[in-house]
Amino acid sequence: MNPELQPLVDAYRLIDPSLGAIVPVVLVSLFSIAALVADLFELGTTRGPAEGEEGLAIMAPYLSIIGVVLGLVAIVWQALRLDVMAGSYFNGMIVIDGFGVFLTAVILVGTLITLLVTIGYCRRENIQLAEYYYLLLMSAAGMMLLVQSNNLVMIFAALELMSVGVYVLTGFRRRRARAIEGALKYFVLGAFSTGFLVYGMALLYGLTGTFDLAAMGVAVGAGRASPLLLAGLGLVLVGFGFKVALVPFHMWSPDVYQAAPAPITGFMATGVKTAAFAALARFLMTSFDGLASQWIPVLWVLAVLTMFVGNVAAIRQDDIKRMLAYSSIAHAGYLVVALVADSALGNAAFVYYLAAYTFMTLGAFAVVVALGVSGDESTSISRHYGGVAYRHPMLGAAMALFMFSLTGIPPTAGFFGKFAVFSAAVDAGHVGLAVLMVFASVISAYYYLRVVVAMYMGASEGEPVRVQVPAMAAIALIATVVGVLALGIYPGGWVDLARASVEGLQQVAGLP
Amino acid sequence: MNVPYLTLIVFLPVLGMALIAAVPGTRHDAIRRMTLAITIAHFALSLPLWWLYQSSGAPYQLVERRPWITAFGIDYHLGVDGVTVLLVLLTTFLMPLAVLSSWRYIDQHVKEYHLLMLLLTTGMLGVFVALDLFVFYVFWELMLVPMYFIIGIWGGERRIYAAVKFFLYTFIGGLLMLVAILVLYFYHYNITGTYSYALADLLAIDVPLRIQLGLFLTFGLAFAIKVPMFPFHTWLPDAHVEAPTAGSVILAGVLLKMGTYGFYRFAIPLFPDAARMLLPWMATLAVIGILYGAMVALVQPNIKKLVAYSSVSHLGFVMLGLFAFNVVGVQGSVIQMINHGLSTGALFFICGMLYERRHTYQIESFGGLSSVMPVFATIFMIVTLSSIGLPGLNGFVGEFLILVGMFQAHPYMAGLSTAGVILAAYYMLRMFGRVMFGSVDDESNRGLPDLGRRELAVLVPIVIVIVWIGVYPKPFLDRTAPSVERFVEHITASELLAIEEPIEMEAPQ
Repeated sequence: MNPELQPLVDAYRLIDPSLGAIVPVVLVSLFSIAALVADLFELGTTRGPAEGEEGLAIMAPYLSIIGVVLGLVAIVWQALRLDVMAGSYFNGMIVIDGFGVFLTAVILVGTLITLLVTIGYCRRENIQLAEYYYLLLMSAAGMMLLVQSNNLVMIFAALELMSVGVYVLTGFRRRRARAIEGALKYFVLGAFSTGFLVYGMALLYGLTGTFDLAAMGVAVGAGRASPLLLAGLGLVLVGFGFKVALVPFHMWSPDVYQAAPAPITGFMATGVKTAAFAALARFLMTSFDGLASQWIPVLWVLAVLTMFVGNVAAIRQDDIKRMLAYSSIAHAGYLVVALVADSALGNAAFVYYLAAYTFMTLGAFAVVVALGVSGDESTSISRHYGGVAYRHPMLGAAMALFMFSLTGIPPTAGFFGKFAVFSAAVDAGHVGLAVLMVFASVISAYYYLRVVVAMYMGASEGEPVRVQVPAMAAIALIATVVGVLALGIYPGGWVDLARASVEGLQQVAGLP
Repeated sequence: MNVPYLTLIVFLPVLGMALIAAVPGTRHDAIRRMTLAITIAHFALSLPLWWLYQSSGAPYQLVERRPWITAFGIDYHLGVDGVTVLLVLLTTFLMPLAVLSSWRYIDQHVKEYHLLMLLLTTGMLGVFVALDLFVFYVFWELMLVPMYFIIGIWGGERRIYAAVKFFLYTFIGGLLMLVAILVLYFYHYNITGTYSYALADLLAIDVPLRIQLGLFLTFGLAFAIKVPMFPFHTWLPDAHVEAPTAGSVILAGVLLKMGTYGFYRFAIPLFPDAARMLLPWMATLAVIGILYGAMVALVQPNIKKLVAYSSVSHLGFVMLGLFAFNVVGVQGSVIQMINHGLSTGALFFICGMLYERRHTYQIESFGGLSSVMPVFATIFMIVTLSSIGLPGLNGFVGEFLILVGMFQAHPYMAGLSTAGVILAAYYMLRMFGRVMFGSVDDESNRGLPDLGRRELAVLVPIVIVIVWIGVYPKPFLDRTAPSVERFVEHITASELLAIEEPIEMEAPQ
């Protein structure tokens, strides 16, 4: 062999075992680039964009779907080989474990559903730009990396990769003032929150001498913590708090959710939240498990604030996207309750809830997209949702199912998710927190019911609009309905998966 | 026998839903006929319970148990005792009548209505037969959704308000109960080291009084809202008045029983010491409910509202009987649950029939109907008398036993509550008199048709059972006696235990 190639071979040997770990991310990224490149060739054809159209992305949507499906296949492959593959890669930058694989799968399913919904939406709204799909997939790749990051630097890089795509997507309908405003708001506040995050990370690095989460956990140890260490932890919490929209760092989310195209809102509410929450959980469980007694009270307060502010504010919303934005804030609060439990059961409830939440929220957004009309998304509950259930029985029934699931009525995914969170809270001795969550849930029932009331008991205002649901969106809707029911009626298998996935995330024994 | 009989009973309506879903929504009569056929078949299917249940046999019979969510120790676990059998039969008996009574009243979204009625049946039956607290909770909430739609879509003017109120009241009680169930579940785990939601397992452990009190109050709140006990009754008049006839019937006939049944099957046996300790409070609330309901009913100008408040009063009796904690009182309470389902159910049917003729529930709009509608008058009379507890009809049996039981235990309470019986006679008979007797003042009342065949088919079966229980209640009492005895024994046994050893006051760990 040519000795000059030896360094390359060495480098390959170094990387080789690690490559298997990032196959899903690589696939998704490759196809996102492919979508972009394919567009170049299409633009060169004689069939340029028609009047009023932006671009002519024909291949991009399908390439994206293929990429995500292949990514899912790769994740399943990883899951099946988990006992062999589990471990850290790229010098501890990335870790493959059940937690990461499970949530990556959740994110990819969410991305797939978003894509299926998006295709019809983009056709309706004349957004035929390949960049849209490219950004969506890149953002998804960022989420996947974030879920698997085992190092603060990696977390930061992945978080940015995820966020930048979503910033742009929020303002994608750039001819609308509100979209621009929302995107700008998101970007500025996002950058601001990243500042907190980086500052916190710097402090933690200065005090522990490492960016590696596990090593940091050893350095942090247990017992008393220095104030500076707590400050670092606090700043990181603020940074994540912005990303997952915990009260009082939630101010941006209603405006941004309303401004973004509806499929993107769904994507943000599920994917971004899942990924950022996963990183937060991994960070807390791996690096700061020893100081659990320090951050549990803080999260307790954040959970209560988030649940109540989110739910109370949602009552007043007439725009369904804003309502769902506040509802997603409230659900973030429920997720924090699971983290407060700080137990294996709590973590299992946490990942189960994220899966359940992804299905029901994306389903709700899929209905919002399906009921939208070009140019005007018709998202006012009182004006546009009256009598919908009789014009579109299937959409109405699906939406009712999602609303009941978000409320937590059996036999839906949302119910069992809440049940698991309640269990974890009670098991950990936080009965008071569970009771507060009950009251928050009852408040939420009121505004979720409002949608059902409008659809089933309200009269339609003005000329009722009938919409056609594109085949792809119909597939997405069926998938979410099946997901919500499957997780709710037969939660056993999913719970076992969730429990298996959080093994090793935290060294706590004694699961039910 | 390996046939999952109870599962079949619980889920037959869901199968029926699949059939109904296949019928085009425009074929209203076909949907009505099919639903009627399904509910009648359902009743026929459940009827053998009457004989299959051996009152001398095991406490829970026809038990089915299959693991459902193994990670949490949740089993799909069903079974019946003597009381359950009666309540299941009451439910399946009322359903065909409810469908029949909606034949003309429901003319919009007919398909959805019947689908929801069937789903509601499954929810209610599941609540009655569940032996696993998780399964019980699932059905408890599941039943909420169809009832919410039935009130909200086919109800009266303020239907949305009533539906949302009904939903939120029940939901908050239910969720708090869920937390209490979890506390009990983890407590059980701490003691025994196994995870289980099975009622029998949870009954077997000894819970310290302090925890019992908290849990009893939480379970009690959920059930007290459902019963409804004073002061948690305010959703009931709204829901009853706004609900369509069949909705009111099911609400009064079956749903309210889920509250009293919850006390009988879960709250009291699980936390007997707390129940005994809080007995004076619970009995007082029951007596207040009896008197308050009766007095409010007295001044109602609206027939439906009057019947609704009379429900509050009657359910107070049921609660009082339960808290007598002796066999006679509890027996009476159980019989009274069935009686109330029959007679108040019938009264709501009657309200609906009046409404279909005149589109009003105001008492003053009627008068002298007995000369116009003699058959109707006769049946109305029988039902009214049954509701006020005339000897020879079913209401007497229940109220008499409750009062006897209560006199043995707490004479003052019994004495006070007899005033409720007297008031009931007054407001019911006065209402009956103003509607049925006197002269026909209003011209529009003159030509009212008497009961049709369909309406007779709704009311006559109920009247037959009303007379049957009144004249020969023995089969009913025999079937429930062993279960009731076990219930009373369980409470007294814990009392003896509590006297023998000091109650443990430590928190679980």
